[in-house]
Amino acid sequence: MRAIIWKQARELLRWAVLGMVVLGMFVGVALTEWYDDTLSRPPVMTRLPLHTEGILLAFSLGMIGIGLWLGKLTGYRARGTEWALLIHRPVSRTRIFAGMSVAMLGLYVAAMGIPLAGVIAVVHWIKPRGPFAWGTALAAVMAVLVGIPLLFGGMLIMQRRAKWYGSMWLPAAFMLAVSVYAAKRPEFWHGVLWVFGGTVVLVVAAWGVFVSGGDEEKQPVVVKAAQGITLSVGLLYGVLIGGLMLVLFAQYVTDYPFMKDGPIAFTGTPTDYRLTADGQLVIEKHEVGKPGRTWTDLQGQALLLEDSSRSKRTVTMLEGSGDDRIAQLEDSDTDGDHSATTQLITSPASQPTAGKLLDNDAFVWLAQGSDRKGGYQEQRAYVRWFFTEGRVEVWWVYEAALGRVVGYRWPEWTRVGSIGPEGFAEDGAEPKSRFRGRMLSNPNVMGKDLWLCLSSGVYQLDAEQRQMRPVYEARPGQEIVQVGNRAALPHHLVIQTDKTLELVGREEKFGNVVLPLLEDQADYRYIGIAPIDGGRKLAVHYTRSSYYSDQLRDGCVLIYDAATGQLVQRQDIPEQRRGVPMVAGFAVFEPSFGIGTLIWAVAWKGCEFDLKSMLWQFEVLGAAAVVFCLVNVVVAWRWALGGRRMAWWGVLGLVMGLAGVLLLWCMVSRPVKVRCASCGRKRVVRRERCEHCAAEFGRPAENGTEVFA
Amino acid sequence: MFFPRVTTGSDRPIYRQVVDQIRLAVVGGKLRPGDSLPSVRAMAEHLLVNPNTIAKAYAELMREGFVQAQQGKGVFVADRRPVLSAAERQRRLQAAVEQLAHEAAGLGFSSKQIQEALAKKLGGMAGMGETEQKP
Amino acid sequence: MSEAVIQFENLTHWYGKHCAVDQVSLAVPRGSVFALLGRNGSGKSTMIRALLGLQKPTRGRSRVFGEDSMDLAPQTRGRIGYLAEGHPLFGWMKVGEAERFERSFYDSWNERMFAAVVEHFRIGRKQRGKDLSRGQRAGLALALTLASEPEVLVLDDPAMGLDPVARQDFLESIVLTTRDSGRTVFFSSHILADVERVADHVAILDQGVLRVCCPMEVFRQKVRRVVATFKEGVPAGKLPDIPGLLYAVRCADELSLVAVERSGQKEAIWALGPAAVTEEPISLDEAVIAYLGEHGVRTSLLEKIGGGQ
Repeated sequence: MRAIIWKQARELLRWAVLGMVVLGMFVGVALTEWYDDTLSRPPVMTRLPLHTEGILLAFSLGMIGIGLWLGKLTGYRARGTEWALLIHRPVSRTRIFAGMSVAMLGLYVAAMGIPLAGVIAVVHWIKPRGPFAWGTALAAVMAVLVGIPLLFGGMLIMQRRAKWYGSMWLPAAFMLAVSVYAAKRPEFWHGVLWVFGGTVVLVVAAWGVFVSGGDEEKQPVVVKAAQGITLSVGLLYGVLIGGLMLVLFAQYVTDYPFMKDGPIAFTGTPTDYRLTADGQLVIEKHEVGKPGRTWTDLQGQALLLEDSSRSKRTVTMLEGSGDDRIAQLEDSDTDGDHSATTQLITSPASQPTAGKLLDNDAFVWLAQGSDRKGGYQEQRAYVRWFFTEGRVEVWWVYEAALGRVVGYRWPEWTRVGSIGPEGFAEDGAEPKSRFRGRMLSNPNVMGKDLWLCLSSGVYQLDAEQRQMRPVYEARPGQEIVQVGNRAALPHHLVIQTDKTLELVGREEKFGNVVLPLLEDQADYRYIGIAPIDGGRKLAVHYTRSSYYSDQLRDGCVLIYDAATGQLVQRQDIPEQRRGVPMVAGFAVFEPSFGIGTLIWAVAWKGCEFDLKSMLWQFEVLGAAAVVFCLVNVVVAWRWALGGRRMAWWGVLGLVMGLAGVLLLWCMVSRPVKVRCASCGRKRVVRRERCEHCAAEFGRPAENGTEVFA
Repeated sequence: MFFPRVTTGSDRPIYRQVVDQIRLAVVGGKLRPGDSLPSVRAMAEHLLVNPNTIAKAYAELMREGFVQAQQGKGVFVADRRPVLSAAERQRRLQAAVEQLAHEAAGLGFSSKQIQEALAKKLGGMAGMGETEQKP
Repeated sequence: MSEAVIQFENLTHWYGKHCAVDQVSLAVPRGSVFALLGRNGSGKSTMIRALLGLQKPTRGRSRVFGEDSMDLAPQTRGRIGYLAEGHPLFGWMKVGEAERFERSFYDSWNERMFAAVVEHFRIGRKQRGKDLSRGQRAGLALALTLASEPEVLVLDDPAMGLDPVARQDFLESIVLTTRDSGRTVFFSSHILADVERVADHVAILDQGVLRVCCPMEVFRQKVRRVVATFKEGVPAGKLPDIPGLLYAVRCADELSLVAVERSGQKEAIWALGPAAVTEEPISLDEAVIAYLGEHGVRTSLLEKIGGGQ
């Protein structure tokens, strides 16, 4: 095996070196840019050196280039005559494959790893500039790791005996999907697991193709399965994209109604809810073709409200008394449309007839759970820059690994010293004390340039005094989850701990309010807090859907007394009924996915289940599934694959639809057929006995000139 | 050491060429009884032919009594002691003469011409008369 | 001698709609030098590739040392020397490197053999495979194969593309390997002079069908020319069926047949009413060409052109 490694390494060496040199050049350019103070300095750029676009781009391109090329060469060098030459020796084919893989992998890691080690050495030891965090190297390490599926994928593509031209490249879809998906995982080890899993599938497929010389019939089931997986991903993509294009074309030609909003159309229109300035939940309606909106309370009583966000509505009472009144409504939309309508409002006199709606800006939003994930690729996991106003002499940056705010003198980049909980200490004389807790991303903190939000407390930098002033510190045993301070609550800081929701007054005159968290708050993605009723009350809205909209769709609204924190009222937004789901037209190509989507829509998306109006969809999809199943069964039968394989392919046709049919054509070679001498029907040549009449093949006809000893 | 010459592409198989040439050499006196012949391997490598071919040729020569193998020493030209019966030898001679007569007649030679040619060929084989007359 | 080292059992191979090898069964006895003859594309290479487990046959199987070719154990592979068509090498390796690479796979390595063959072909140790001449490449490939002292040597058209001198060198090397009487050589070739020299068994493959498989002398003996002479010219019209007929050429008053010895053949020829019938042996070339060429009554290309004038 050592000899195989040596041989493979020698063949790949110059390419690996070439790749390394080119990568090194890219890295060099990126580093020059990083050291250029006009291009790369705070506040223009606050990324750490290993997180700069230049470096990451260099390693990503290096990964694609070196990975694919080494894989391609290894695969290409292991087919045809070279394969035969390599195979015929007293070593098992598995060991030969292993030797080749080790050499390929080793050279790849060296070609990528040496430049990476070089960059780290330069920015950390040789020419340090500003903060450095070891964790930032993980992004580049992941860029190296996601090249491994490319190595084996490239090898597989080159070695596999493709039945038709396009199918040669099918495994590319799988390997790219694995690479991209792994690179995007927020946790490093999740990414490693994905790379590992994807690589295992590709290695098994490439190994099977290598040891069998591309002969599909010799391969064990696990190899066929691995190859099937690598091909299926590409086929599914192909079928979905092809189907989508077909449907779009059909829509263009025939005004076909499917596929308006993605793979599924919800036939019902969702009800929109809004909150008024006094905390009342109302239903908002917008009739198609008419400007403006109308509102009713939850019971359906019409209301007169003022919408400050979308349009300016002026309500002029024209006449009326008691329960019936007529009002002149004048809407001027933000885009200049102007309309005036007269409306008969019927409402009891006790109901407020006009009020203000709260829009999205009235809430301070907290995004739940977004900080619980790793996000190792993100800068905020390692450092937090502070931006002081005026002329900068020292740049301050919180370094998570140190737990201290470090000052760097500008523009020399010398370390001044660092601030810990106890205060400032000169460089070299720093105590071990540090801020505890993990950094929060606090996307909803305004004016955060001087703030440091940790799970243990919120601090503000005082650059003059060189100290961190605590704004809020978590009570013992509690942890801060989110911090927010939008314009809606200018004098407060909203803090969500793992147990409470708190409004912290930032100036003496504003008191603190502590609200309990809803027990099942983990089910909700966002929490919005808005002062209502002139600040006397607080509305807290828990929701599962996105908050980038004025409408409320789900969850509940709790009204608290702002002074005491007492719960005044709880209003639950009724669950939305979304009508009968309608699956997109191209689902007929992948019927089981279509049926799955329908079930998913009914079971988890709150769609109505109405067998009568859904039946035809199930019928069409079911029929399509049966058709694909039958196609596979018939093809397998015609190709005389045998009962078990026929059943397998039938199931694959049923489950994978068109992709399953294409998979059969990609993976199984179409057998030659000749006429059976015994029963006269066409029989495949690769079976010993005729599949129709079980006759063996006759001997080739003698011509009377044979000489056999 | 005596090595026959073989040609490929001839009507006669290689082993037959080896047999014929050694026979002719023995009959013609080029090889004398007791002369050693190359080993099977040596002759095969010299002639660039399959050793089995040479082994087969030697086997035939031994059966005919032209050569004999001495254990551990090699192959030697034998004292001519005929191994075939008189009748058999007579039959073979008749066959050979028949063949010669047909061929020559077919080529249009007169019987005198044929006799002359035969005498000329036999003239080169000194001492052949006595050995043939013995039984 | 009787033990079969290589066996083919009903080996069949289809390439698409073309049947390259049609149910071939044959056995190669230990110690033999077995020549596989046939025209280009007659399935010789396919048989050899199947024999080494490089290609799965459509049907049937082959065995080496009793082991199925598709599942040869690595140790068994070590006992088989294989020289693929066109003498492929890892061209970038120097001769010394190639030897080191190759020998690392084998327990025993005959350095003297390797050195002798390499020297015989006048190959320098520092030369790279890709810089060698065609003959030298063949020599190096052969040296690498022989030095592991295989019990069976499988050669796929070893003389292809070699000039006469290189062929001579090559032939010498092959004869050298047969020094060890237990060693078996199975090879395909086009060069009938070489076959005649070294082979003791012969098989002829005609469009994928095995027509001949026997010891060389049996073949030489069974295939011969029969000349029938007629007084008043060869009877016109179609020849009647003559058993074992390979091909026939008509002259003015002579019908020359190349045929395999078969019972009833003489009678069939005498039935034509010839004045005389003689039998003559023919050369190996002629016999093989008779098998591989068009059967039946033949007119050569030259005759066809001559007839048109």
